Amino acid sequence: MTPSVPTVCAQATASEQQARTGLRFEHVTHWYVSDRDTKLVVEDLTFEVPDGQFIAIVGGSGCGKTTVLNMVAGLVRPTEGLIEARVDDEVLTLPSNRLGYMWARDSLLPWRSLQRNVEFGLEVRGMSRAGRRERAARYITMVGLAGSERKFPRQLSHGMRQRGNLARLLATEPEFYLMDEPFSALDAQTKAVMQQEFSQIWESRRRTTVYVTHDLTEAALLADRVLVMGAGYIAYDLVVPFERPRGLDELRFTPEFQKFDRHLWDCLQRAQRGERG
Amino acid sequence: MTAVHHTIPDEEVAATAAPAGRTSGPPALDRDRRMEAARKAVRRGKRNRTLTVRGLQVLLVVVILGSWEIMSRTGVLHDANLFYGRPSGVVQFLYDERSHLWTNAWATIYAAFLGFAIGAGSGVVVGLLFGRWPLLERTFDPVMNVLASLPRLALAPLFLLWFGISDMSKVLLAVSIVFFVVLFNTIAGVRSVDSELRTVASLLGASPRQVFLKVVLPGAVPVVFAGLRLALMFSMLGVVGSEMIAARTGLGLDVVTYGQNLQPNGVFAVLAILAVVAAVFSAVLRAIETRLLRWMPEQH
Repeated sequence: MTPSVPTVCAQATASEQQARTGLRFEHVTHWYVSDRDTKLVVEDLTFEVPDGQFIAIVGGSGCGKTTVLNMVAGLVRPTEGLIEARVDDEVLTLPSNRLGYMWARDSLLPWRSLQRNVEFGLEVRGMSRAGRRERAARYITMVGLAGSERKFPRQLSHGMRQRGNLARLLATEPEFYLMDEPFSALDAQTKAVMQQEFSQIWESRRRTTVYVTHDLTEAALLADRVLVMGAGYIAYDLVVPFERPRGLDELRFTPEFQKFDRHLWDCLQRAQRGERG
Repeated sequence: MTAVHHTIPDEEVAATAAPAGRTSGPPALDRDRRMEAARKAVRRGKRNRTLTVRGLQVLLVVVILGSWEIMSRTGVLHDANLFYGRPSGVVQFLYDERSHLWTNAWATIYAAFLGFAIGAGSGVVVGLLFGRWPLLERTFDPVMNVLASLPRLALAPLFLLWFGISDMSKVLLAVSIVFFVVLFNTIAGVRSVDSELRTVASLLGASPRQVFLKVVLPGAVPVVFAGLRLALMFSMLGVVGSEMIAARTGLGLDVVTYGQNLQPNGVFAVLAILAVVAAVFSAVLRAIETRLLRWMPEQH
């Protein structure tokens, strides 16, 4: 393994002295092997995510975007190539608990109260009870669920459960956020509200983020950069030209945004026809 | 609609029904009153239905017991004293033989409880071991399946041979049934735990051991409890069955004796006791379950 050159990114303006992180894919290929068939899911992916960048991966279903995310999470091993997640000079062994993961699906433990769900990651790290209480309370408040600490997941609405999942991810204070369509199962209004809130939370911490979504507008609203995938490859690598902090409610109706959204749409269309940028 | 109207007095209906074509709502004061009326109506309907059902249930029992009593007294049932008994006779028998029945009921309850505790305890432990190490489960699978498909009552002679006519024999027979019921439910319970939850937990940093203790174990509880409820009945079955084959004390022995002595009232008395014992056992289990499973969505 060759020592990698640390990349300095102009966009990263992390306020605190947090660890410098980076993520690198080098010629990554994944073959999905089952009893019935063997399929090439992604082929020869090479890209780099510099410290504090929010990258969105978009593409049609089956294009391999979730596999990319799962490979970063360590849930899927690449057949060929190298995936490297770094925190300062340390190369993480995947899966690592310094990466936080969030799903579209509801994944709170149903027998634990919201509070105890948010504490879970801290509990398994051996943090003291008082410490976890305090930390969980802080993040529950941050996602707007203060007052619901003692409720079980079944007593929460879908939107509230996703807020709980977000609080659980934030509570372990991971260096990377990995998100797989976290808001896709929500109704349109709840989704818009949560995108705005998440965007603000993200801007206050600027952790390196890989965000998979099929919603192009969402990618444009939240991310610094969008990878548009065709079947198993990166067709376009686009920089999102909007400044931070972003007010999503205004941004989404500006002509510049709509133009970019349209551009993204065209790129996706072309990617699905097998073209590359 | 009509069903609702039946339960709401006229003036409340008038308050509830909105005049057609009106777009702006009535004043807030009026709304409180209407809300209260709607709530009362729904609650009253629910209460009435519950009362009706309870009433019908009691009526059914009264009709069954009453016709039995009448048929027995009027001779519709021939030689009722020798063959069919009658409810009043059963009550009389329970009273007359109370100290004898009490002793034997305790013997049965004690053995059933012991059989349940040992069988369920070991079933849960082995089931969890299998869940934690699947290789273990696969290795034991054929043996367990063969043992579990044996009609276990047929093991009674073996236990009697080894341990004599003793509590040990009855308890073991109960254990041999209970163990497998609980084992298979525990395995199913472990399997029922959403694999996504396990993945989430390990991504959050939980070790395999922590995943097992904090995710698999609590997740398996509902299915394990379903097994425990069954197991309780099977434990009674095992003990009473064993007692019917050979025993010094116990209700299983009594039921055989009374049957052979042409004392139907005695047989029914024993059955009544067994029914009460089973009901108490399962009520206790249900109370524990309700406490443990507060997080479950309500089912009924």
